[in-house]
Amino acid sequence: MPPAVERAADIAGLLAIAVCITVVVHRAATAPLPPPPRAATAAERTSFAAEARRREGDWRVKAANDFPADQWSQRDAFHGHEAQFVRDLARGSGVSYEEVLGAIDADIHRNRGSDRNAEVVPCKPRPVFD
Amino acid sequence: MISRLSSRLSLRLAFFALLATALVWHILPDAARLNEFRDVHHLFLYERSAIDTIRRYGELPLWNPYYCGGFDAVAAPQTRFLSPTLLLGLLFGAERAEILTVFFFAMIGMEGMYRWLRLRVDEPAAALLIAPIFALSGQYAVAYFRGWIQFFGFQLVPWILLGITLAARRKPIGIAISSVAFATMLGFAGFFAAPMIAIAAVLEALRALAEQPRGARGRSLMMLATTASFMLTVSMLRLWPVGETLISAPRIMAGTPGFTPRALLSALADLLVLKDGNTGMQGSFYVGAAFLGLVALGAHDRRSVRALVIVAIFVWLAAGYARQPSLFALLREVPVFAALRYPERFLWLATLFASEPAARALAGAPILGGGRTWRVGVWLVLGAAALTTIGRQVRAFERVATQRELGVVTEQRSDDFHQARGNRWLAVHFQSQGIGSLGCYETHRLAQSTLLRGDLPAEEYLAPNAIDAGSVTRTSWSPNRIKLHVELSRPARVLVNQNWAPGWHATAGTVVSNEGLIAVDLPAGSQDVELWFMPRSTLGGGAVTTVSLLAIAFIVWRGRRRGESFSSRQRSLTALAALVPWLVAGVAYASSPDDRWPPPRMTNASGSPALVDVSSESQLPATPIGARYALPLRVEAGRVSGPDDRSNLTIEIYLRRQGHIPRSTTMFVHVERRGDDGQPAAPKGKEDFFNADHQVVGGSFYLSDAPLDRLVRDEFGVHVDKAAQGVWDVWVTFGHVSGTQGRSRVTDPGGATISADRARVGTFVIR
Repeated sequence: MPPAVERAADIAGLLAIAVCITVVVHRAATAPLPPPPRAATAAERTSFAAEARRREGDWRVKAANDFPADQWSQRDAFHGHEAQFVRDLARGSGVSYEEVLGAIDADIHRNRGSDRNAEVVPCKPRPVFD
Repeated sequence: MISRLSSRLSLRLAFFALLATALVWHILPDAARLNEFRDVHHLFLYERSAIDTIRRYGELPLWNPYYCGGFDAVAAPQTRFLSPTLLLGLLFGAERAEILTVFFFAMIGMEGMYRWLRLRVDEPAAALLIAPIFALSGQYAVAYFRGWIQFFGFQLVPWILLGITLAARRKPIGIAISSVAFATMLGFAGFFAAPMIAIAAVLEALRALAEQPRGARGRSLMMLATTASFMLTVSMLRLWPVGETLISAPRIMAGTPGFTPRALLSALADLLVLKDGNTGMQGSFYVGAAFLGLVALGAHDRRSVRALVIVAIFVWLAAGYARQPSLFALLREVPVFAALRYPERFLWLATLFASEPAARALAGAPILGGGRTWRVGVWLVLGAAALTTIGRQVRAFERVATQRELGVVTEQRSDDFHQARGNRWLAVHFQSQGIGSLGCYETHRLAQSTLLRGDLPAEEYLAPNAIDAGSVTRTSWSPNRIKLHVELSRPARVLVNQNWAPGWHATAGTVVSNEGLIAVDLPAGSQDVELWFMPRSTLGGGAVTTVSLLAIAFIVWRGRRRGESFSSRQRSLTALAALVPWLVAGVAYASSPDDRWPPPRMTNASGSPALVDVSSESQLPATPIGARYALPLRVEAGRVSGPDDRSNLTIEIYLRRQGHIPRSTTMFVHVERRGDDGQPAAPKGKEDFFNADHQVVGGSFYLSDAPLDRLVRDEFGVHVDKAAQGVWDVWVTFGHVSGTQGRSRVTDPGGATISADRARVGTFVIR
């Protein structure tokens, strides 16, 4: 290739790289977020917490049956049920997950000492994942 | 013409940039959203916390207080902020940085593959067309779907191999390329992939060595040894802290995963599909049938033999336990490889090495005829096949990525940091509130104090025995630094509701671990105390990394001026440059004042100790058995309790390892309804057999790692709500984890009833 053609090819290549990077970075940086969910009212937060408190017993029993004598797995299964509950409740109420989780956390802190799994079962992943 | 254009860096990178743009194009509108796949909630939280710590508090992300009660962030194997991609997060935020990371890594991966292929494939255009197939393979789509962004660090593997071959060719720049690529990969959370990469690196080194003239092999070998040394020392910022973590809390993996040839072929040749909200094996390493055809075509070239042998080794490994003899099982006997999890991931390396014969097929294209028309025609057909494969890979990535469950992280900061009960399945949504999630999951046993609580009125408080000694008030908080004002009428211990780790210091008093909680013993008086985290493992590791980079720069610089690094005149200096980082490491380690982690705890899943005190061995609350097996194991006693009102049975086996047993040794536990007294078969919906086999005691240690001659108490549960009425027995024996190699013979029944080489350890009745 003649040097002039090589130079032109290089310029074209560099331009193409610059355009790709610019476009990708710009699109990523300006990608819109959905409108923020509304804030929960105080009454809703109380209700979220009460509903979670009411269901926790069932989650504990299910977890104990699924993982007898395995404390961490029981706790993890409990949290799995809780996560599904939080997702459903937040979506159904049009509020953020943070609102529901914050309400549950505040309730646990307010009613300290109750049986709310506020103590820790140390992380002990199951050795078989599949 | 195409060859010349392909070999021009600018045009080649433009081609790769276009492909990378196509890869992410349809996902860019969702760049600000959160992938809600379960693993994201800890993996992404790590990255988000690191970025927040720098942006919000102006601190290095050394300590992460937002998950599991706090941990050393540099020492966690799955944090990925110790790589250049952190800059993207700082500039654009953690969410938006993810897709940019994918974009840049895809480009880097393609260029790395091109350069590595070109070491052995003469035709640039062939390398150009084949390089993207590895860099866009189905596993990257799987990784993106599951939020395993750290898997994109695998794009650096061709660079590691490139450096190794260059080093074998006695080019000093190879040392720099391999070392920096490997360190970046580890910094990008590639820690668990490192053993796999080590195998690929060794195989690459061997074949690169074999390619060298006989007279130069000694110098090549020294270059390779130097490369290996620098790969370790440049990574020391990461290796040292993570190494200490994994020694104190090993990652334990059990099971016998295996794949038939048909399943492996489906992973490579079928398109990736989602099933039940997740990816499966099909298409998970998609490179397409055309690529496999090219590999077959390229096999006719004798120069492909070594690459194909390596491909065969990796496919054999990928088959896991399904192929006998199992190379994967053999590999897992080696301690560093014991924690390898998914054998199929070796397909990744298989496709990488298979790219070479595929590129040779494109480069040669002479087999259908010798004329120019034939050659051009064949090249066009094969090239079109490669391009079609690339298109399908991009399409598969887009299809899978756009089906992720997406959420939004809402910043809703609380005034003060505190620990919450939390939830590992939603952990990011706690971090976004500036609070910690004690609900915790990691693939290793992340150290968590049992004194942590998610309901405290204050996160820093006086120890229970000093509650009347005064008061503690938090005056300032940031992830690495906690300032307190303490009024004490007498010496007392202040507790912080976070996990202790080596590296916590205080301006007054002495920092200690209080049953795993950060604690500081203070004298009486009114005082301001500052606690801060700065582990010596990170400082020492950072020093070794820095010195190593300087040493490599010196070797490369000298190499450019004076030629080979291991010529007779250069070898002493080169060897010295390679040794200096190790000297720094030794001095840093020896002079580290930090406490060390305690040895791993051996516990059952119930939390009870798994080792019986020697003094208690004569008073076991269980039925004596004393059965011996051909494997050097002795079941001393057994106890079966329950079932309780939840239909849960608790089984305790007291056993002793009396000699070496393979890591694959498993305890077979059969909970079986007695059938010898004419009981009818179990009615519909009921069971007369339950299995509780396990290779690992309580998830904390392999049977093979049970201390020699110490009595182990293995406690586990079985849910028997579907058990049919009748008398039930619990039987125990041992054998290979796959269950396919029979049972260990009972050599001495002791006091036990034996049936089919199983000792009965207990009985219960279902009424």
